[in-house]
This record gives sequence, structure tokens and C-alpha cells, in this order.
Amino acid sequence: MPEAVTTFEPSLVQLVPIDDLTLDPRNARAHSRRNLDAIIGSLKRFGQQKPIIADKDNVVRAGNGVLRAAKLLGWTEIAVYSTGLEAEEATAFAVADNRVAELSEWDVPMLAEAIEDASDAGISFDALGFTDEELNKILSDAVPEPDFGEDDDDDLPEVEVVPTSTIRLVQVFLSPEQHEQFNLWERKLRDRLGLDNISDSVYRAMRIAAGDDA
Amino acid sequence: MRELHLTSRVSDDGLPGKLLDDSDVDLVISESADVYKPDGTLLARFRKKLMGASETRRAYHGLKGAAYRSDQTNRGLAGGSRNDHLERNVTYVRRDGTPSKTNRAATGTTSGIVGFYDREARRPFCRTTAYTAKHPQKFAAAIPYLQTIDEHFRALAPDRWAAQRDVCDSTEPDWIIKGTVFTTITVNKNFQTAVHRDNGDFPDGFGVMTAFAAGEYEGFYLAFPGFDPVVAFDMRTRDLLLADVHEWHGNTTPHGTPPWERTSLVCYYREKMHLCKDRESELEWAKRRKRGGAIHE
Repeated sequence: MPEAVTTFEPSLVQLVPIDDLTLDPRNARAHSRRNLDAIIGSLKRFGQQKPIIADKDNVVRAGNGVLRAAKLLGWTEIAVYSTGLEAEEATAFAVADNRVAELSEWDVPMLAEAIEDASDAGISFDALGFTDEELNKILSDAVPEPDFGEDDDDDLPEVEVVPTSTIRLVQVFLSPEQHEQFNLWERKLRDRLGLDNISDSVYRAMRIAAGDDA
Repeated sequence: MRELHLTSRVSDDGLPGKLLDDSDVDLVISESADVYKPDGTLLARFRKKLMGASETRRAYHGLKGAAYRSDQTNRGLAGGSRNDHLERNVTYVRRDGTPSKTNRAATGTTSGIVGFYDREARRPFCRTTAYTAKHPQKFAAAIPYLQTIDEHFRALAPDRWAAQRDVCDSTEPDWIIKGTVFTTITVNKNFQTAVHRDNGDFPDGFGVMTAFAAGEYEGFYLAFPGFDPVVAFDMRTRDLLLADVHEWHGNTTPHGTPPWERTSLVCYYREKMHLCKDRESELEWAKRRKRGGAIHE
């Protein structure tokens, strides 16, 4: 167990041919396509700003998603910090590395300002890993309730629930040939059943076909 | 109580579709006030903290979800001038006056309709709106609030209320929000309306408006730029504004750091609701209407 405040050794950061690296077969973190797209967006916009971490055997212990994204981008080299951690210790570090990021939360006003500044600089939300909808939801969920003041009436009347609309629409998609045939059949049915509109004739036809027409 | 008499009308040139900002406004009204047009008729009555806290809270929870549609393409001039059509409801500035791009995507400008709606070409039948049909309990929860608004409307603008009451009396009760003179509520969230005049509402009625204001923001004042001086109302939670929305009006640009949200309610009588039959008859009418035929008999 390292006892020093830091075990970081700057000289251990190197550019490594990307094909020399191996994805961690025991990586407990799954990278969805969405996650990979977000990493790709970040790498394309900002480049690699922190090294991935690999052990002495060039197995990536932190940054497996970055490695996959870099490969998809066609990079041939990537910055790697070679860790001295081994075996279970390296695997445990990989879990901790993901978990500590997962435990943090957004400070929404600060996030909003940061995104504001990024947006002003012409940086797209994609490069930040957000969709418009996600950003909208984060900000919307963070909106406080209006200040209503002290409640002044505990006996508000219960109001009768309004009946919902009595009309529902059904849309049918047909080819031109089917449409022509449909119209012919519908006219025939309408005449046979003595009905005066398409809604009733289609409904009756379905009822008859289903055997529910008593 | 403040009383203001506007001195003159100004030219309409450049007003329709314009997005207003603070510099377009001469006076922001943030206290109870009555404002009269140059001809002495009423432009607006504004009352601060008139609505009760409990009913407002319940209405907020009942109606806040109603503004869910982000497509504003049917809002006509209220959505902004022609070439600005897709940008107009998402133009915000920060406190320092610089343009905000975050809000463009993130502030979530949405709109919705609650209550009842008249016949249209695509849906040739009178109906409950989608939100009302899907969330009848939430709609019901807001009704005491809407009834209180109606009471205040009656007290503050009795002539306008009576005219609206008359047309309600000749309308099938299925389409009136119970205990009010309203058929329909438009709910707008963070929607900066460009300068427009309302249409589709009852011409002899009045615009009846409230708002739910959450978080810290400034601006979003409802301004009437067709008069000199240009007055604008800072409508916040529990305030009530009655105004002649057939005059040019629009919101000023909001300023604020997210998260904030401003939801406004516009309560009105839809002009053609008196042509609606009862619920069952609307179904029969819709079934038998010839395609492309008249919407009303």
C-alpha cells in the first residue's frame, strides 16, 4: 500500500502506440454506444487532456472507454500513465476510479454557467456529453417551487373530475391500391348495413369479423 | 392603488412580431394598478398577491405539466416575426445583458392548452384538450383556482365579465370550465411572446392572466407597446392581471441564471365554442362531416 501523499511520477506518462494497449478483460464498467459517442465528441473537440492508466503489461486500468473511442477515431498513439499497481490492487483501483466520479453530483447553477460559457465559445453540447433534452431535464428538475407564501385555506373544495373527450381518432395507412379497394368495400358494407358514415361501417365490420356482433 | 392614464397611441409600424427588451419599456409596474388608454377605457387592472396561497399551490401542481409541447409553430405572431420564427421563443440574455445560448436549448420553452377546444379542419369536433383528457384529476385540482380568478374577473371588470358570461350562457355546458366564464387556459412555460394581438378569444372579453414564478429572474414583463408611455407588468406568483389583449402586447426578454422558470396562464373564452354541440352530438357530427366540408353547419 503506497504511503506517500502522491505516487505520481510524471516521467511515467508516455505516448504509446495504441495497438500495444489491451482493454481490461476484468473491466466492470460497460461503455454504451452513447457513452462512446460522448467520449468521441470530447476527444474530437478537446483532444486527450489526461492520460489513460495502464499497468506494466499495458492492460488499461482506467480509460478503457477513451482507448476504444481513440481507436474509433483512428488514432495511432495515446498518452498513457504507467501505474505501479498490480493484479487485484489495479482492478480495485479501476473500480474506485469509476465509483468516485459516479458519487459526485452537479452543482446546477455552476453547471449552467459553465455550459453557458462553453456555448458562448462555440462549443457544442455534444462535446460536453449532454443532449439538449438532458440539459433541459437537469435544469428543470433543479427549478425550485414558486414562493406561494403560507397556506391560507386547508379546506379547498374537491371538484368533480371532468369527463374526458368522447371522441378518439384512428388513422390507417394504406397503399393507393389498398385505399381504392378499401373505399369500394367500405361503400358496399355501408349500403349492406344501412349505415351513413365510414366510422360506423368500419366499426361494425370489425365487430362482425371478430364475432362480437350479436 | 396606482392609477395611470396613457397619453397617446403610437404607430403600429414595426410592432407586430417584435421581441421586446427592457429598453422598449418606459415604466415597469410591480404594484397593484389600474391603467387606462388615452380614450379613457380600461387597458389593464393589475393586482398583486390577490390569489390565495393554497389554491395557487394546488393549481401549480395541477397545471405545471400542461406546458409540454415545444412546437410553437402554431402561435402566429406571438411566436415572433417571420424570419425569426424558430429563434423567437428562445432568445434570452444574462444579467449582464450578453446573449445566452444555454437557455436556447436548456430553458425548455413549452406551451400547452387546458380545458376545451373548438373544431378545426384536422379535428372537426369540439373536445377536451389532450392534457385535460389525460390528467382529469390534475385539471380538477386547478378548478378552485380558476373559479377564484373568475370571481376576481367579475369584481374587477364587471362589464367584460358579463359579456363573457352571456356567451357562456349560450354555450353547451360541456365546454365551460365549471363555475367560470372560461373555456380554455393557455399555459406557457418560459415563452417570450413577441408583440401580437390575441385572436381566437371572445372579442368583447378580456385577457385574464396569472403566473407561477420560480427561481431568480428579471424581465419577462408583459408590455403594451402600442401606447405612450409603454407600460409593462411584472406578473409574479399569486398576482392577477386583467388586460385588453386585443391591443399590441408582448413579453420583454428575461434575465436570469438557471434554474428558473416562469409559467403563465391565460384564461379565456374561445370565440367559436358557442357553435359546439354537446359531447355526444359532436361525435355524430364528426362522423358525418364530408371531408373538406364546412367545419360548422
